[in-house]
Amino acid sequence: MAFIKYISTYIPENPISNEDISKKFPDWDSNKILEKIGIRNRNITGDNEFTSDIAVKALNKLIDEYNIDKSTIDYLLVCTQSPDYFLPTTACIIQDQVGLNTSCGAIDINQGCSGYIYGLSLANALIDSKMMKNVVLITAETYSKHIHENDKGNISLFGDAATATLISNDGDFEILKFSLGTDGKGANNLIVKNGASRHKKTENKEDLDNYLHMNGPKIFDFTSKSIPNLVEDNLKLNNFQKSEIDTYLFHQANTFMLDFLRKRIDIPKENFVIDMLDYGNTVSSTIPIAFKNSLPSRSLKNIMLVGFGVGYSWGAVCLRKK
Amino acid sequence: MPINEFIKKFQSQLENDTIIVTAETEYSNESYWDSLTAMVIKVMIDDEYAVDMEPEQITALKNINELYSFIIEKQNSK
Repeated sequence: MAFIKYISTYIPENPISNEDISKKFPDWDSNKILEKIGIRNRNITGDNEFTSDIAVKALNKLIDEYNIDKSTIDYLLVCTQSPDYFLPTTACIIQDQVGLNTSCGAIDINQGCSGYIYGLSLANALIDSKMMKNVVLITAETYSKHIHENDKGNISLFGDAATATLISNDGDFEILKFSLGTDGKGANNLIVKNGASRHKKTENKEDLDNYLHMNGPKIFDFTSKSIPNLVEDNLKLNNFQKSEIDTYLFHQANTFMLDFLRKRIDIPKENFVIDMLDYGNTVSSTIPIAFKNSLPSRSLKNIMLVGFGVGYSWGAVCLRKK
Repeated sequence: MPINEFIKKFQSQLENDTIIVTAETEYSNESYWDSLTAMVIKVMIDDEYAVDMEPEQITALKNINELYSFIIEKQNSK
């Protein structure tokens, strides 16, 4: 058995408000942004601040906040799609910066909005097989560096953030069974095309293939078709009725999509967490941020986590409070 | 009339579902209409009528009457 024991989060210091966005793009109404996608502020990394920097801050915060002996961490998983380098892995840089043991395993996983679920599935397997005792899962994204300076839609939507979760053989939240899924047919609908091996980044600043491209309608369509079944499958797998889950924690994509999914799946408002007003869509960090924020305010017993997005990739898991 | 059923379904998808919609409503000129609303209507048409439309196609049609006729025509040609 594996448990989520502790979570810490780090939000970078540079805020972008809706008013800032409206100032730059006068046809983009700041109230309309809030009304439609439920975001008021998002924070982004500075020009000289990268994924490993915010990840190190999140992990150090976890160690300090919960007084963890860092020599007990025996595996580090880093989920990111904005790594510092092609190689080495960002996890190796973080291991060194934080001062984890050299006997600690460390790898990156490249996954986006479903990344927290995928990371948990790996951490759970490492603990459950008794191969490891204390696994840290970091989610860290700096999508702001992938976005074109005039792409007001994606600037409005995405924020940067990092989180660190300790998964252990004891803790408050038992990790139950996972449902995962993939459909690479959607690869082109959320992509940064240039910059890796297949297509080099071009010198042309206006070449949009150098930046994040999102086909919103296609992503919406995929989500509306796949996620209701995913929720149903995972409830069945874990022998829960829909009403037995007191807290549904979905990837915080935008409030319009979340409201739509909530109604479509028929989840009561009070059991469905929406928490992105001052963060935006922080990709793989939205679920741990909302989870951490829920701890003091909600009575959590049976929880479902649901992630979905780039890939396409999706996953869900239930947790049970001990 | 079947179009009344369609109007009800259309209406229920809007964020403010007290908005009055008729067969003559030129929805894409209304203040509530945007790409996100078009997506929600697209999903409803797919769910309820098994007709797959692109959101741009929905936006391009003149009014509810035209949209409904388009859906029925697609259904009949299957």
